[in-house]
Amino acid sequence: MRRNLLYFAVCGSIAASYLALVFAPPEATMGDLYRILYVHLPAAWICYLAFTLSMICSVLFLMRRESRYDTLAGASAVLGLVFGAVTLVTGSIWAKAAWGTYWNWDPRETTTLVLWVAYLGYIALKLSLENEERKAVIGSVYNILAFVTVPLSYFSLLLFPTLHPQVVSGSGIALSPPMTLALALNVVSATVLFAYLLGAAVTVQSLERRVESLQYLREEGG
Amino acid sequence: MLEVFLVSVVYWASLLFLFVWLNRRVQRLTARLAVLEGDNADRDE
Repeated sequence: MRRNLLYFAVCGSIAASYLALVFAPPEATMGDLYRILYVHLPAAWICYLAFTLSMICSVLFLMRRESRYDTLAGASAVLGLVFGAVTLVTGSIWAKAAWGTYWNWDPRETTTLVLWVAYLGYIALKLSLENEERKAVIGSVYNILAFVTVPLSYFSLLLFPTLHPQVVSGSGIALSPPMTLALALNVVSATVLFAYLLGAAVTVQSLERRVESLQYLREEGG
Repeated sequence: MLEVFLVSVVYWASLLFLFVWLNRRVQRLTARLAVLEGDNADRDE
């Protein structure tokens, strides 16, 4: 199943890259520079998706006290941080080309940085606690509180005056049909890639727990 | 187009790093687990 996901993600990504770089026409004002959108927007979407999934798993953990939910929450948050970093870096490169500066404290930039730092705190908190039960419970509560930054970042375009363009809004998508097709395929292939990486990250976290418990047993016995 | 190239490099390098790191971590942990389970089995005998 995981291998099939990987094949699908690789094939989808190749097709999506072709659509983004060749098939989609240049944009009227920005020319080819707008093609950064095909990387920046899927990365941002995965970042929001990963943190939302992480928060849902933390809620489920607190309700059911099953460690698999905490494992999934942690794995999803780590991936969200990587995709969040990609979103911030690609956004900065785009900002430098379009606005003349890498960082200008635009509300969207600032709220996304706050979101990223909040989830960095979640991972740091989980790494700093020794006791597994405490780590899971305190981490879950923190995760739910940190999730406030996700809607804050997403709706920052509506809440504050900003230079950041709004591609998807209530009135539809501000792109031509070929651009929309290229963007949709990039978003889908990034989502499949995320699903594959999440499976691998969950496997890593589960193995780490088993190794830690066996090491503990060995130390207790020896 | 330099910016588009740079952004693509950042994106794919990050994903490749994640892919390689996660798969290497799975391999190392699986090997460590086999050693620990072997030790436990020896002790039980």
